[in-house]
Amino acid sequence: MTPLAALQQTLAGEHAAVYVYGVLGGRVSSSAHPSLATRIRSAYITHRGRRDQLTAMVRTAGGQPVAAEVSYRLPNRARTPDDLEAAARVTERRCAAVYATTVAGTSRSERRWAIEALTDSSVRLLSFGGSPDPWPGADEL
Amino acid sequence: MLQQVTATVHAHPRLAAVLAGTRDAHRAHVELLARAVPDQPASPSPTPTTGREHRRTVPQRPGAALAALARQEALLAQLGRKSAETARSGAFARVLASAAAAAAQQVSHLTAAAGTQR
Repeated sequence: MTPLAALQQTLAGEHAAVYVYGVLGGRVSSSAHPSLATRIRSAYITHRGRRDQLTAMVRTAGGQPVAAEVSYRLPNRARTPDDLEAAARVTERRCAAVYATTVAGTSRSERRWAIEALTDSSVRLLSFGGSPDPWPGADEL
Repeated sequence: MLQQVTATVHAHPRLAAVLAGTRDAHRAHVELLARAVPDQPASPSPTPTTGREHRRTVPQRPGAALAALARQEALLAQLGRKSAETARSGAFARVLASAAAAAAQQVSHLTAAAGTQR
């Protein structure tokens, strides 16, 4: 995989994450579940920021940034607080896998970016009730 | 690092459940990295130090012991990220970055667990 292809794949993943967190944010009650609402909001802002960074990185690498889909399938029905946390965990695991692939397919500043994103996503997973894992983003290891 | 975790479990058997995942993670890292770098005799999961040799001591209070492990995991995560950055092989960089992310997860886990011990 070329570095540009790795960045495009990561950008596609971020588009999906931004969409999912946007929906989750609309479904959490900030009065009934303020902590969950804050965590989802924080994740949304982080992934939106990464999407913007990746868009710039793809352009710098000479590519045309991949566009977002109109909509994405949610990881689950996303109705209860437990559903929302589970959906967030699925999203972070998917992103971590993509970041890990990007680490392998890039070098220097792009790889550094992917390493930081992988670490952040792995720790964020715990904030949504996930458990520590020996190989975040690389389950087959 | 694996030896440090094991020493902490021996010193504080009550922490065995809290540290089970920590030990499993480091064991997995040691096994894979030992296969990946067969010619390296040193521990692939080193206990980070500040440069001075010291005995493998474990704080007497359980909370302090967990906090000490959390600090060492943080150093290991930093070391792993740096190593991943400079690895020549992309596949190996991915392995190192994942191990570093696991160490970062352990920082969070151990810090939270330390807080419940005090």
